[in-house]
Amino acid sequence: MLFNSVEFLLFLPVVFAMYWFVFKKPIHQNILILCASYFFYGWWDWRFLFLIIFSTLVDYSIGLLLHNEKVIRKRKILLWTSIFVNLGLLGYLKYYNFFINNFITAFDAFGVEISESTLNIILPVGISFYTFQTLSYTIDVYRKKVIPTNNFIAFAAFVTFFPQLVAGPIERAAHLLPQFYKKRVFDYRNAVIGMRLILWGFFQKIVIADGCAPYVNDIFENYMNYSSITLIFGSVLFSFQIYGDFAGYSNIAIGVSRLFGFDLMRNFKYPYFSRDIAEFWRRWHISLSTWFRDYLYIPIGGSKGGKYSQVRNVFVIFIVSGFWHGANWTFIVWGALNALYFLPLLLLNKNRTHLDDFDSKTLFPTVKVFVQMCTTFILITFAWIFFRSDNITVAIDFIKHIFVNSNYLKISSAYTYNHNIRPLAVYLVFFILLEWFSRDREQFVNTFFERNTYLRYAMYVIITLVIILNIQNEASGFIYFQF
Amino acid sequence: MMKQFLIKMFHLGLLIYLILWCLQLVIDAGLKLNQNNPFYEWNMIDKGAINAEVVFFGSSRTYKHYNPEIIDKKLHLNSYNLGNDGTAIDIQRIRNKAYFANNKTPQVIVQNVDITSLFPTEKLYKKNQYFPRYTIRNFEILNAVDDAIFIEYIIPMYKYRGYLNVFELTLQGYLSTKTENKNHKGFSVNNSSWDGKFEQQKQQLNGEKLNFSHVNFKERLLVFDEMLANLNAHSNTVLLVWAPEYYERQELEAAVLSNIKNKYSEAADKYKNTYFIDFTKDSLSYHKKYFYNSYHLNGTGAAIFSEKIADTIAKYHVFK
Repeated sequence: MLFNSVEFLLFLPVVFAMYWFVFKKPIHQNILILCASYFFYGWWDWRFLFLIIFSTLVDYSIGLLLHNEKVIRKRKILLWTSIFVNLGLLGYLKYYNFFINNFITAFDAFGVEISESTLNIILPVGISFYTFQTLSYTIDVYRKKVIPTNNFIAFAAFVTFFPQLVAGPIERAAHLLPQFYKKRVFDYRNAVIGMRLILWGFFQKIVIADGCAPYVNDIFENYMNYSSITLIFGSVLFSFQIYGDFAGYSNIAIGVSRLFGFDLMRNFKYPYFSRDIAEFWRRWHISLSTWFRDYLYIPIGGSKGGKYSQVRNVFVIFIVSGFWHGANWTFIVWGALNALYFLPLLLLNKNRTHLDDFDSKTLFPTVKVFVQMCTTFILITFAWIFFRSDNITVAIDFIKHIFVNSNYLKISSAYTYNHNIRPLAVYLVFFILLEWFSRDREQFVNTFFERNTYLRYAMYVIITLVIILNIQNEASGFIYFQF
Repeated sequence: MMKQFLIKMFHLGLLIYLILWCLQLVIDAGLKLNQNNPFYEWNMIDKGAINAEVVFFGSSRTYKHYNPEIIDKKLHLNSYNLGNDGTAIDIQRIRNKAYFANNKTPQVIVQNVDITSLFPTEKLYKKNQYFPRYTIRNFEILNAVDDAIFIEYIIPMYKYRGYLNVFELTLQGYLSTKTENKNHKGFSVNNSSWDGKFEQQKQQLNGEKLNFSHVNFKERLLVFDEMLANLNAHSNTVLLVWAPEYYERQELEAAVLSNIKNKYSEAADKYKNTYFIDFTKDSLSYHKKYFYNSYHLNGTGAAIFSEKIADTIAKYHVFK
């Protein structure tokens, strides 16, 4: 079920009403959440529910066994069983064809012909997200950071919690699981912020992401026919599309969770205002970045050791992170490119320069900060070309065309020819300005609007209006569902 | 806390709803003042500014075929072409009803008939023309052809989604700004030469005839009958005219053509002063030079046909 669908518009109030007015005990509320989550996921394809249930059972059991097991060797076996099962399923469903194809290509290069036998596998929506969430539970139990639960319903609800089931934020057991044990008390302030996040999430998805999508699709599909400036324009729009799409989803997920009394971690902190790549990765898809930091980067040495191991570890984490997104070399190159961007900061010990939050007191950034933000945005946008392209050849060709196509300084594509781009330009400016002036907050209502009720309400009306005017006849899916 | 939240959400929702509803009213009113396509003819109808003695209803085959200037000159009266491009009979009823509600009763109604007018409407063509006309009267007709209509009726501004130029068009209406209007008393001439698409269609059919299996003619003729009763109630004379079609196209339609003509003729016989007039065998139908495609006359063809239709009107109706 998509957040931006009529079904969800009916589903949410029904579950909300049942949750607060019918089922008042935590155990009953958890059962409701579990059933609602299975319904939410099964709406897309009920067959894959068995996969989630299997994954839930495996990690629930291993968690309990780990708790009772004192022998280190046996504990390790249990941990590796969980890793093997979870990553095995993920690997088989997501990466099998990729490895087979590359295996065949590699042998082909040496003149050995192998008959192709790829499988027609459907990738279950959100498998990378819930696999990582359950894995983190088992690893944390193994590390004794989390006490395993014997409350199966709570655990299953934690794994399948519908707001974040298919595209995160990837939650840690230590943070989310205890919330399923506690009695939930409806919090007015929390719910209001939740509603604001939902509203802003819909704006990001429907107005920004879906507004950019047709331009981006046209330009990336027909890049060979378009001028350099058009290709740059398409790349910049993709930066906004992917941000609007994913941050929009995350905001809706966090907002919906708040309506049910749950607190999910922030997934985005205005990443395009970052002053360098290191800061960008502290602000973009935070739940995944921190997951990799805690369960991969630090275990392989992190920033300890000599420069060589530091560089190696950075490349490992970025490449694996890229590969997590999909079984395609484009994602691997995208990850490697980000590692390359990160390298100078690491070597000059400047990767932790911008740990502070944005200075929200100043109206505009200084020239220096502005240049830093623009440079970071350009680098990120360049890397997104690989992320968006169908394969490496296309990505390289696209970049080549930026440099070799005519220097015709007019943005012109089939889609821009038939559509007026002015409204999208206005929305983008509005979007950037509102995010900039809310940069010290989780949601778009900044202190200025907080103080003035009329202005705040006007903002709600304007955003609702713009969302309504930009709703598409067919609800479009979220990009990150495919990961 | 919960009560406070729900009350606040209700109030906020209501406030947003009312504001958007008011905004929609303002936009609808602005579009009703717009003097450009596709709103102009509709707005003339609503204002009761047409009041013609002869009106022509139908689809693009009305819109492109009946030239009121020629007919007016010949009959010395006021006629108006109300053909609505891209519509079948179900949607044409909206315009008929609007006309009768706001204008004086015409002496003669010419309703163009053919096969495609009986096709089920799968999509509203130029949907924005109906936006200011989302009235209770039109709900049933629109809702039958478009799944989104119900939500568009209840959520203010939702019908304008994707039409971001609506504010500009509203402003045009309030400022009485006129852009180029190619229509002359509702008629639009097309002076293009034969477009060759018919030959492509024939090639695709590969010797087969059109079978129209997707059309439930029985059901559609009932809708037509209802429309005809309404036309008859609002006029002294109703002429059901089958305008010329290129003869080779008629050959492709042979499977149903004569049967449908008979049905129209039978329908006409049911009413007093209602006649079915068939121009498919007219000499115009045998010359490509009068058409820009197999179904539509070009400017020359339309001029000759309009002369002929003026004579026909004079033959069947004595103007007081």
